[in-house]
Amino acid sequence: MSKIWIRFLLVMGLALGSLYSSEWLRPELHGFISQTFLKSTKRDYLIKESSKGSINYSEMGLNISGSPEPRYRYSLQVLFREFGEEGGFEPTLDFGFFDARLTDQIGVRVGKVRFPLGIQNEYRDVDAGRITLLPQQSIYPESFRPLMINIQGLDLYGHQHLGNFGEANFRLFGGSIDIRDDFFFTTTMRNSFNSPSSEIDGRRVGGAWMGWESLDGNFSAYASFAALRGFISVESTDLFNGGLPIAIPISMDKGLRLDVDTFIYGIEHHMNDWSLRAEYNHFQPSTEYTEELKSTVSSMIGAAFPLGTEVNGGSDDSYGWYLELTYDHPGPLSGALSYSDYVANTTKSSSDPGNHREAMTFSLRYDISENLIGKAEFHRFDGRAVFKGFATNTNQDRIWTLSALRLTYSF
Amino acid sequence: MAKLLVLLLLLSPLYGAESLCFYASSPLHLDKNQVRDIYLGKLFQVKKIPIRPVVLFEGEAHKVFLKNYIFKNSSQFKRHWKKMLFTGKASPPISVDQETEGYKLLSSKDSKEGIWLFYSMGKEKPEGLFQVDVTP
Repeated sequence: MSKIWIRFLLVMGLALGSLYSSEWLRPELHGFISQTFLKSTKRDYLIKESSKGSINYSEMGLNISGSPEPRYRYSLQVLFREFGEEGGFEPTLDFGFFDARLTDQIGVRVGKVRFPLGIQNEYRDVDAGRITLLPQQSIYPESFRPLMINIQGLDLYGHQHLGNFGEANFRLFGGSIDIRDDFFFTTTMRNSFNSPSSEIDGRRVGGAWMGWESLDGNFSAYASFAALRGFISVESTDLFNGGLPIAIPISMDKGLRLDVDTFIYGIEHHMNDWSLRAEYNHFQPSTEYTEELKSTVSSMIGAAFPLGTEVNGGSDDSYGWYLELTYDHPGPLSGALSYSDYVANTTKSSSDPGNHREAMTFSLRYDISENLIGKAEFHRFDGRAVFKGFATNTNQDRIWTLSALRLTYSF
Repeated sequence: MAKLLVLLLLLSPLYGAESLCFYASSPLHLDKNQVRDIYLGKLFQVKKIPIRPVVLFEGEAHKVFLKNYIFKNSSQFKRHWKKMLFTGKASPPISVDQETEGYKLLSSKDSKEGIWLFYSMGKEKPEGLFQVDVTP
């Protein structure tokens, strides 16, 4: 979205709210700014040159929200973000939606809304809302944020009390994803296939989120599912591994169909200041040659399409899980300890260090003041499987670490 | 006498739980789930009347309120509201430092703006406010 549109929305938000004289109907302005330092050993991780120590991880958000009347609410947030080579600290509309309460229990948000997936995904940018510095990377990889952060469409939500059985919550959502051009997967594709026009089109996304919480709030369980149906455009024969004797541009809708299904299940247990949570994610991407591509190629080469149905034979499923213990004392200091595991390809051996990564993570959070937070985090990894191509080098050591420091101010 | 003192000490947390009272700027009846939903940003109105919650910043009444109605400690409560705020779902309740400040705020509000809701451990009903009947 252009800067002009973002400025227009900001001004409109303030102007709309100022029409209402009532004190609590006026728009509220909030914001945050954070600076992160990352230092990895043995390899770059998350951002380029993190092995040398990098501060190229900064975020600033401005948030305006208001309620013209109690049943209706609008909210928008402009985000300036730099994450290594992504973002460039350019302003983007992070979310912007209109929220209408249909009943006391059910409501709907329309616009650019957060992607409700698992326990952490929609809150992954809210540093002040959690103890850990990074969301759990075995399930919420930071490098996949552009694919997972928000959708343009609808989010129907609701909750129902179940007497002594606690409370049920649900979300149903659908729309499309506007995937940024500097998403690492897109840039990798462009570089690998020498195809500057390559793009991913997240045309349709939909899913559901269900949760249950006990009456005393101490136990909760969640299940969520999301399906993405999109297309990939590439102008290169390299994609076919040399299998085709012709060069053919593959445009949207006519080349490769991308289907991604993801399932996340989680449980939480609170014991006063202590919390124990676990989540499991099964990630199922598949890329298929479309019928249009097959027939075009067949007619050009005068023979049957030679490459089957799925790119890479359809063997790209991965899974990840974690167990996290947090101590959340009312005082300024809180901490978390977690173990996580990630397997990049379920058809290959999970004991292969190139296909597997486990991590022990220790996090500390110190609330310096009501608005200022300092965080420190240490990860010890065993295994080389990561989400970004540049970090998987079979010659590198399997044991490596990541240290991170962050300062966040929010108001 | 010593046994009586021990008994009183043991019962004191229960006394604390029972002594928390909710006050509103207009007559109001709520159940415990509604109180929790209002203070967690899930419920904005009751019987089509807007409800505007007010919280204490800290103190014993706030601790008792969080423990018995919200099931979170003060850090968890603050973090919950950071999440709600920075995902655009709801705006946090107005917080006040003193119970008297809360009473004053509620008294000053016009009923056209809805019903303002507050809690305290004060034994006497503040003038001009209505005690909220909260059913378990």
